[in-house]
Amino acid sequence: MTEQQQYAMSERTLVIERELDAPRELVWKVWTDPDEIAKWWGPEGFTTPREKIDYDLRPGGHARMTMVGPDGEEYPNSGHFRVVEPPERLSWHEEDIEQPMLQAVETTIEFVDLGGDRTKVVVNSRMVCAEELVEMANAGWNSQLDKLERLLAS
Amino acid sequence: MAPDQLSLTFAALADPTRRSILARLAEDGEVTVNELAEPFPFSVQAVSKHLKVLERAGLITRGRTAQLRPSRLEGAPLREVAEWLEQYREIWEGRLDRLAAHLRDIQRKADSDD
Repeated sequence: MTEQQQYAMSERTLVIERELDAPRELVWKVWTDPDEIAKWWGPEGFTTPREKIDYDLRPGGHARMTMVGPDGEEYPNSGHFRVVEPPERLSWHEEDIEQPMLQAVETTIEFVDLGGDRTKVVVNSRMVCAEELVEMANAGWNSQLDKLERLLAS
Repeated sequence: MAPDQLSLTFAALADPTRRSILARLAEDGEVTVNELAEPFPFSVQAVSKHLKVLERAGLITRGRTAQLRPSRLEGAPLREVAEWLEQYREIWEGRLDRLAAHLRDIQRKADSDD
């Protein structure tokens, strides 16, 4: 196993593609209009109430939303739009992320017109992990191995 | 890890004092609350509170027998945090599922309104 190498990385990129049976203009609208976002953003079991979405949809404009978990706990997200090019490309940068594993997230969405009222969305999300926590995760893994060793030795 | 368990872990890790407690445990194995409190300018009680948060998040376990109840780092939740990218992928896949369903709904509605 190459656990050490895997967790030594401090930057990772996630790419997800999805083809949708809808014209590109509509996909753009549903993705950027708070009235529509409130109806699907999620994640599963979570809601994103309309009144908790505050978008200033232009380059440099703020992007704030609060997701509400199944237990009613609130998860605020705050960032700024970088690229706003309807209906082709949208990107934003999240700041003040409370999750210390991630120092910054930059997400770019590309909306590709496939013709015939079909659209492909490509999500590209870049994350920077805190090395401090990566190291601790490795230490934690070592402590699990220590336990296993003790168990096998007993 | 369930999303609320993950948030519990993240919340526990958000505090720099708690992170340095974990770093100490990663280095020294079992450590008592008095020993943990030594490098900090605040009380043993304050450190105890931090330990409770870490214990609730499953990041540490504490000895049951001795009165000193030494703390020990638990590796599993930290590793799940390190694997957070995979969970992030799942969140996005679920989100795109719901986007596709929402697009179907509004187009069906538009058709029936025609």
